[in-house]
Amino acid sequence: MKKILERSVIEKARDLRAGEYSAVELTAAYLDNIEECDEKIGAYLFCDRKLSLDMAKRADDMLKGGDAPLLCGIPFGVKDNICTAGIPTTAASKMLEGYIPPYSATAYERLERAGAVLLGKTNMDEFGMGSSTENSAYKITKNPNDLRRTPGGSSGGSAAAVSANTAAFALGSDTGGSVRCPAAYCGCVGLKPTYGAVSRYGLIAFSPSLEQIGPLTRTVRDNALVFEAISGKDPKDPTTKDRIGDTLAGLESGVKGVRIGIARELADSNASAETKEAIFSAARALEKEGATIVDISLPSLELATAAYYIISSAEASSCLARYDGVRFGHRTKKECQTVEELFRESRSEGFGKEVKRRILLGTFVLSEGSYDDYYKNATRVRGLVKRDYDCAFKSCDVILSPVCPDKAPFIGEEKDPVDVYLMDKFCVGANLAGIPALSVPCKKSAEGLPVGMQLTAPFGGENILYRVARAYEVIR
Amino acid sequence: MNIDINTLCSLSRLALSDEERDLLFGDLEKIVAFAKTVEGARGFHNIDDCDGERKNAFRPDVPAAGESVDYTKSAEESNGEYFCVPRAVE
Repeated sequence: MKKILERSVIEKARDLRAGEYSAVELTAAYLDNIEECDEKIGAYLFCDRKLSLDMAKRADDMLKGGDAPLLCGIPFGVKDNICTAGIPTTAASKMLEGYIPPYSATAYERLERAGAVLLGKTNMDEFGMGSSTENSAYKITKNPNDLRRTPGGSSGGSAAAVSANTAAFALGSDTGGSVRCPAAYCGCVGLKPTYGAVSRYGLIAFSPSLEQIGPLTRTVRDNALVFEAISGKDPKDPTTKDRIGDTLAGLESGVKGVRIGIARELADSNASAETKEAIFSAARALEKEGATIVDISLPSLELATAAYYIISSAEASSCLARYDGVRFGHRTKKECQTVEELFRESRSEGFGKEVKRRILLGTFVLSEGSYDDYYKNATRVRGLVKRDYDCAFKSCDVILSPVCPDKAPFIGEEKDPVDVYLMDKFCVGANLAGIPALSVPCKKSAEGLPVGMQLTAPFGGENILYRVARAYEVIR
Repeated sequence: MNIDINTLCSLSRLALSDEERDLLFGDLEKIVAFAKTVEGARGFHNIDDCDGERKNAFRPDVPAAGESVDYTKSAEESNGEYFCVPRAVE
């Protein structure tokens, strides 16, 4: 049964319909694999065997009915900042320890309705703040490709689960690369959808103007399939838009005539020589398939990382203000003389170091005297980034770039916080501009670690992303 | 740059230990200095369209945007300085 776990979601869907095995058998195989592997990987924060098997039984009944959706009976993991009714949801924070949401996120609810089977909640950096999953209040997740290294973050648990075959697919959330970075480090396919393509209802907010829920999968086709299932208009999230069309339809159309842009700024970037070479070799391979490589420029991306950290921290300081031990979140057991003291003590006990750092930064950039210099300029940079992408997409259909500057770092590696933030350099632009970006496995490094490449498309351009990614997947 | 960590902690409703305060303050100074680079946005202020004078505003020695050329040819022309592409690297 373990061999079956390696099969793609589409293959498993076919097998389930052909009666090769049942959803219960498939789910049990995944749960057994979690029991066997997850102690050393640490991808999951919560699993409930009975709950998963009950869902699988219902999926089997749906499959017997004959017209079940393609994802029916497929077991998956969900990042722990996505609300699941009746199931613990902590955003990997002590602040939300023991929280059981009374409602589900729309993205999860759509999968549940389609008959997909929840295996558990996956580990992450606390509230999505981090790029290594080391900032979880509960445990450190390890990269299944090399247990000494991080799986990236903040959706590190989701990527590790997919990579280790402890989930057929997983949901993550991407505020500044949090789906794409772990996908690249773990060798998965990860999508940051167009802003508004997937409902954020039920996603525990960190930076609402930047974040989106996105799928992590083993193949490009699987990713398109999950995206289809979770995307579309949701009355509970007014920023959502109608579905952009059938992303699976043009998947096998190839890249003949597709113009692929490479930003000239890549040469001077902080990407390693190995990463740059991986990207250029992918460009050469796509060129051989009939794509045209176009030189483009994205000058304002130089400022994008700083702008991203200002805007996201400002939004975080506001969003996380609700966790005060009275309205929401952990309450201190210390004797407090005033309500203000209760707030301070509860927040200081509940939040981890990185979250506190971002709250302080957010408060600083929004304070009088700093607002114009920081926040206002950051929003101006955001406009410039969007304009640069608009300009670039006049001469190309997709942009090819690295996801991360280098391969996955070692766990516990001491790094300057600014260097850590600059690891998001290639990712944050898509979040600032609200456009879709896809991380696709590109090649292996000299040590055999996955290196990802990023494809970025104009607003609503998931179709072309999947088309180019699929063409590359075939020739890789 | 003038950061008063006590005021920030108070506004953020955080009660930090001295050790935590020292650690976060050091990090915050570095991060704020990095964040200050967004002031560079002013250099782009008067450029409103793709075909504007961006090349002069940002990096005068790089060809203008929109001059879409085959990247390998560009590599030869630019001696690989700005187009670090395989053929140039090789």
